[in-house]
Amino acid sequence: MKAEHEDLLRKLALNDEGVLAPLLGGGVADAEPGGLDAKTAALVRLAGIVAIGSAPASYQWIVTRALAAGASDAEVTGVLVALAPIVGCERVGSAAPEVALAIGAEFDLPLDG
Amino acid sequence: MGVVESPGTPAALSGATTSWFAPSFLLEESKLRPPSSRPGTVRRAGLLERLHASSDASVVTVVGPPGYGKSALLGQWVEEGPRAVAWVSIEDEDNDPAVLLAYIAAALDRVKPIDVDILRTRAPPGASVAATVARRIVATMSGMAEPVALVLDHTELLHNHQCRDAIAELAVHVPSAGQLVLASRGAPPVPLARLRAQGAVVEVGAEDLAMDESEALMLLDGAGVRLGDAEVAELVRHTEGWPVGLYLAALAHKSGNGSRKGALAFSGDDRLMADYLRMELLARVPRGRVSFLTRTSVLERMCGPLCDAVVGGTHSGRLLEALEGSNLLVVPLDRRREWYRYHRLFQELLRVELGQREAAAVPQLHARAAAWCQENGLAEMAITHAQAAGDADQVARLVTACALAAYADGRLETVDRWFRWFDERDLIERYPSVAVLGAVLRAVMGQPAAAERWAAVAERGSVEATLPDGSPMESWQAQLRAFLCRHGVERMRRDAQLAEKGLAPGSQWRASALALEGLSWLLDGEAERADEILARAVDVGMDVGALPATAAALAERAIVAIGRDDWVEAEGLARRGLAIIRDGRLEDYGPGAIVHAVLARVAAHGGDVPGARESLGHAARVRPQLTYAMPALAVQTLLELARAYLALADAAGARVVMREAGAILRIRPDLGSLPREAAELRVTLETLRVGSVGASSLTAAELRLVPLLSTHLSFREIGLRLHVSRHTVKTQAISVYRKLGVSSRSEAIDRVRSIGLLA
Repeated sequence: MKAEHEDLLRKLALNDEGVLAPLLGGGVADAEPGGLDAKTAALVRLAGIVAIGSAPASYQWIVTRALAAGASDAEVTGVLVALAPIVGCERVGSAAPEVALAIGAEFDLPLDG
Repeated sequence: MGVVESPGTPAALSGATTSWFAPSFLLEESKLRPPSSRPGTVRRAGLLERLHASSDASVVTVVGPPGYGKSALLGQWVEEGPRAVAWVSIEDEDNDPAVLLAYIAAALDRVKPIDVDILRTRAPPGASVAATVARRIVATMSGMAEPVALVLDHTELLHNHQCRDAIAELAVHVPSAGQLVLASRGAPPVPLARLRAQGAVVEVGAEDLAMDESEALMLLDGAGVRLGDAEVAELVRHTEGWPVGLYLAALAHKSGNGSRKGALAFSGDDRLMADYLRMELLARVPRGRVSFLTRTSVLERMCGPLCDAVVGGTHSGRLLEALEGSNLLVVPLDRRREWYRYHRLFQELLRVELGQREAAAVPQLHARAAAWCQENGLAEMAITHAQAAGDADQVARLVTACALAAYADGRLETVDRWFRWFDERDLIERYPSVAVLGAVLRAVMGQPAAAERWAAVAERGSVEATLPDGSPMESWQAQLRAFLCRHGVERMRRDAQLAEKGLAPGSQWRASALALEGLSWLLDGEAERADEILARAVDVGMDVGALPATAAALAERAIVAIGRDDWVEAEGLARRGLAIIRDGRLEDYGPGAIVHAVLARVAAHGGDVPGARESLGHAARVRPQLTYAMPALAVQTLLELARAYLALADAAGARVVMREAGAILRIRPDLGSLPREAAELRVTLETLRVGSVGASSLTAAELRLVPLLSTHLSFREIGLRLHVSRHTVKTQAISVYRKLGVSSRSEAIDRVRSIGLLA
């Protein structure tokens, strides 16, 4: 039997929405915060996690939601470009491979072996 | 003992063995029989005791260099053991998961007729094969009333990744009371460290297999050689107990002038052994017979007429019988004494000898063997010899004739190996007919870049002669162009029509030419006309047995029926398509996805949500194979899937397939009504709110990973298989877990099974 805290840690690491939603006041899964549609909200969140340099799981989560909300690959990539002057090329550079993976790019960007 | 003896007729070589899986290749019965011990064989009492006592170990490995009597030991174990045994002697041809599975299935079937359904569905092309194969074997073994031991002899011959992974998978999941026994010259392909830690493995090594003095004495005794104790001890010391060395020493001794010095002057080393064979053994054989032995060593299997053809003699049949009678180095493959093979080690030594005596003659010998095999209906054996002979013309003829059947049989690795042979020698240019086949098969298997490369070659080439199906080359080329649809729907139609006009009446391609023409009309908005031609495609397809094309044509007709709002008719047609796919074991083939897509739509329309989800699951398994190499069918299939997801209000699922369709449309934009349909679907999608992002939104890359998650492979090893980094695998796996709503690998496996993503 798995200990409850183990399961919780695992789910947190995966950015499991079911676990995160209550933590964030229930607003994650179907958040369309005032005036923003789902797609825009997801792209804004993507910008946020690029800025703070999140874990790969977060990129997968946010980008998948952006795509599911109708964002195109170009729009997702556009977020990185738009952010570069603000957060710096270094941060955008390290986010790029994660974003590529998350949009299911059929190529391997240089990543750690 | 538990092994049901095979009927003993050379039925093995005519392929008329097990009715249910009737492989198009020849199932070699003799590979399923353990070696029977002969008079004079030493009973390995100590080792046998150890093996008998280890019946609760799930894995037994017997590992040692050639000539250590691994097969003989296991043969004795089988004869004495109370346990039911399924035996497979691995050969080179088994480096194809489909072939390996067929043999293991046949071996298990000999023990007790097995549940057909478990092994019917072929493993899908791609990386999932190992786990699929292993799982089916485990399921079959578990389903048997009495525990069964599966023995795989000569596992060192397995070099194919998927086959080795399948064995490893099997080792980890052997059902309780069952046993997996592996004999190998090198380390067997199983996770030994893990098995050791679990205490699940019994290992027999070369040091165990080496004979002690008492066993050596028995061996010499059996061979009719008497030596003093000191001499025996000396011999054992020099040969390090190597059984075959001892045996050859005994033979040399027996033949009279084998000097004591000669008998002792070698140790367990292959090179010395070869010298020894030449000096001591072949030196005593009449000259004519030596050349018979060395020349026929190019043959994997031999019968009298084949040997006659190769060596140019007339008495080979009798000679083979005589050889069998005189020593242990020739193994009969059937009870009628028609087919034989050499003892493996002996054959290797003979080949070395042949190379030294008349290397220049080797290609000629293979050429004769190839000619004989071809004349006698053993086309695939002929391919191997023609390749060894370097006769590319003949290889091309044979491969052109065999490739479609082997593909339809699921032996993708075998077909791939044939094509690679041309590729590696830069010979594709010379054989446009091979290139056409290679291009089509690679397109169907979802390898667009390779398909393009081969297609370019196929287009350039011209061939005067008619092809094996009786059609002219131009028709095949036209068919390929129609299939790849590089220049739009109208051009696809003209190509399909051109192909259909020229193809021979019995050609397998005719059904798919008609199906493509029908599709082209459908995409041009001419539904009625499309339906007429698709109906003909179905008739022709049933007639010539072109199953995938027939199933696809039925699905297309169902789409036409949906267009008329006739859902009842649509369901009937799609179900017929599904039946063909099931009977033909084509469920995991790319072109079959359209059938699942239509069925999903029909189910969703009828409010059958679980049914629709199941069909979508089937389709998802083959989605990675839908590429721009068959753009019209691929995009059409993806759009149908999108409609089904929309009908289920699954926006995330619909968006994923729409993105895949969009990617293909960017490369091949001229696909009739499809771009417009895609645009309309996108508009509909805009209005849909995104619910939770679940399993339906797995991307093609993630779908490729899913089957591998069910193996024992680590992320790093999975990365090696998929040619991506460990990081990529890990990230994708995390994404898969989240979309499935699970938090571990094992939960993920349960989940993908329950939703039909994994067979």
